Amino acid sequence: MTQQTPIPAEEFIDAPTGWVRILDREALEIARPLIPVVLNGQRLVLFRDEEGELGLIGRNCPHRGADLCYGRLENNGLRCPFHGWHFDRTGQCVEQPAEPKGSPMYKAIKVPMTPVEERDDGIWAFLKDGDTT
Amino acid sequence: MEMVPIKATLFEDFIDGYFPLNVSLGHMLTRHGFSSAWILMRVAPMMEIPGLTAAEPVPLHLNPAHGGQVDWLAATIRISGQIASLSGLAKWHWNDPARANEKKFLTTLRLAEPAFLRGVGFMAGDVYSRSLGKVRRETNDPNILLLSTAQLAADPVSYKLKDKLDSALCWRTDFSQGLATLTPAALQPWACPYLELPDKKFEEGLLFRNTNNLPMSGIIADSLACL
Amino acid sequence: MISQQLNDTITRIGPKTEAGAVLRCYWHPAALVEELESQLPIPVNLLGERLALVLDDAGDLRLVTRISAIGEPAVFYPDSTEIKIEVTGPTYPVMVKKGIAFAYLGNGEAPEFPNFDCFRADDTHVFAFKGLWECNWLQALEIGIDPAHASFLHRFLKDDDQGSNYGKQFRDKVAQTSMPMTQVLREYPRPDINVEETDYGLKITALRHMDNGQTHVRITNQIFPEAICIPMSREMTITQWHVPIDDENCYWFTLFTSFKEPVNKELMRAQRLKEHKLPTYAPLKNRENSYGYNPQEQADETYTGMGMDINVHDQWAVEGMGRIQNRTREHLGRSDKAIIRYRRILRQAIDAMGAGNRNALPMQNGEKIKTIIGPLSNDAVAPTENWSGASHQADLERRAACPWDASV
Repeated sequence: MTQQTPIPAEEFIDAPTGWVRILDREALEIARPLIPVVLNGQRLVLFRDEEGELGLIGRNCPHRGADLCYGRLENNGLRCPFHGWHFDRTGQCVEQPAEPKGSPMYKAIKVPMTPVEERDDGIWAFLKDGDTT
Repeated sequence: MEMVPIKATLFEDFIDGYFPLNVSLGHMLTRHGFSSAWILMRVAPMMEIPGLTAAEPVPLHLNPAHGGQVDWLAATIRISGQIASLSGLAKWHWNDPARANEKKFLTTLRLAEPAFLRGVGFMAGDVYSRSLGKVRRETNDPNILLLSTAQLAADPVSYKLKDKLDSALCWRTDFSQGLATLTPAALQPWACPYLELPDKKFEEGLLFRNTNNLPMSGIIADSLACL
Repeated sequence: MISQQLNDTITRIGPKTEAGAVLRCYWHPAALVEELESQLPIPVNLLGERLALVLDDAGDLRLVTRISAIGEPAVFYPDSTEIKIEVTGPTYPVMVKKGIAFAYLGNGEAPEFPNFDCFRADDTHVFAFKGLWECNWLQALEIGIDPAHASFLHRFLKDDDQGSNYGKQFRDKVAQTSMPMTQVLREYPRPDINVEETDYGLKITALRHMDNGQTHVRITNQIFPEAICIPMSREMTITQWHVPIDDENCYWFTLFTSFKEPVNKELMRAQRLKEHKLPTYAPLKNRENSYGYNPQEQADETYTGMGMDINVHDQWAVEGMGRIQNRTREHLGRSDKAIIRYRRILRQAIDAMGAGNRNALPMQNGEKIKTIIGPLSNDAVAPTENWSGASHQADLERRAACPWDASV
């Protein structure tokens, strides 16, 4: 395909457990700060929220499995375009705008988060053993 | 046997999954303003997550060993603080074969997705029922009657009643004394789910008129499928 | 969060599978008639079987088994001259209805067709098309019985002028009002949803209570096992089958049915050919080119950033789940009630087939099938305190004015 995709290509990283440098900090210095990352085979999405903090969470929406790489970066988090479920950088669901009014269900929903931080010019993630999602 | 007209509402609803079942049922009772209800639920996937507290988010992935299915649940539920207490009958199975002979239905198990259920809801009033608590008398439109008697001997007339009443809805109930006063012809347009008490005595029952409406015909169909 | 075992049971449809046995009780779209006009035989891959549509000795269309190479891709469209027939393989009856060749891959006698509007309408008032989605049929169906998603996935941040929107979904004005459908969907994203079981499947009512004391009532339908019937515009409805090619691919086949003017088939075909490539009817926007995703458009114009064609939004949503959605990781909400009810019917149908009780399945009781009409499928607006009769009233009015016999 010749068409340029504005979603950055997936970054594949395989590493032993523990803190590992996954990207240069400048990789996320793009208009829409979101990059798909595959860590030890687990498909994740890395994004920067409006407070400037990083989130590294599972890539498929826990509702019906839509691909969060195409999510809307808004309201200091990532919103799934399928039904508007909104996640903060820890992966906690904070809003389910199509659920019946007063529904507490969002409290029970959290996408597993991989610890992530910035050090010097790099972005580091903490890799755990096995399937954390 | 005393027949008391009470206020009762036929309803269909979905309850949330993921929370403990007694929490989700508590949400539902509160939503409708019911103090108690009789419910019938079928084919609902369930799970039990070891070590998860009621307030924690559920895991993203269902470990097959922790999954199962509520084949059916017929129960009276009563609001108790924020949660519901349950009393009734259920058929269920876990994927884990080691749990095949489990006898106790855990009301803290979690549904693995929202579940459709049908039932009859009751609002608080001053008529005392052992099963339902205090329910509201309504003489003007006694669509549903509560039969409340002194303690009856448990006599599982059970499914036989269904044959006698033909199109009416009856199952696993004890109307051995009540039936003497109520002829099948008189009961024809009614339906009556049982109320089972923890001591296995069946001492109360509900009779419904107008079995042709949508929730009731659904309840009848579901009930027959559970037999 | 269902078990992997249950997910396999309800998604896999090859020969000798449980859901496959249920689906094989029904007629399924196998090919568009326009595919047959240029050549015969043509390849048809359906329900995990490699087949070909041929003319038999009596001059009737028939599906026969095709010899396929090991490792042949699921979406494979060899030229007529390259199709080799497996003469000892199973063969299946075919019936042409409104531009679609339907096939029956089941045992025993094929059921009658229900008398739905898409089959009753004059040929001039029905247009057929199809398109490929690279995913399991069930997730393709489930997005069609999910009234909540339209307020998000298909949200347009600006309303169009309604001028050049013939033949497009959600681009009409609402019922008798001057409000664009896009505005109603955007401003009222939390519909009350009612689901009723019917003799054909499910009737799904989505209520959007608006600030002006009016309620928008949208009625859509699930037609068992794998079709939906939904309104497209005031004039047209969509009846759409999500037909499995195999477990990991499906075609949508749609009959667009007009209750007013004859369908402008040339225009509708041209619109859709611009988005698909022949002979496989594969969409030009797909996984490989990120569905044409444009973050600036996502910020300013559409919720997805994938253009104005809502088919692409749906395709992204269902293909993004993976070839077969991993429902062990799914968390349905109460807004997914139609999906929950549908799966319950499907599981009951699977159980009934296991018990040898095919008559218990929807539309399998021969007596009644021809009397099944409609289904009612429209948008209406009515005062909030009295919305319940509005859809029926609007339906009767549309039927009364319809040039073909749409009486109920």
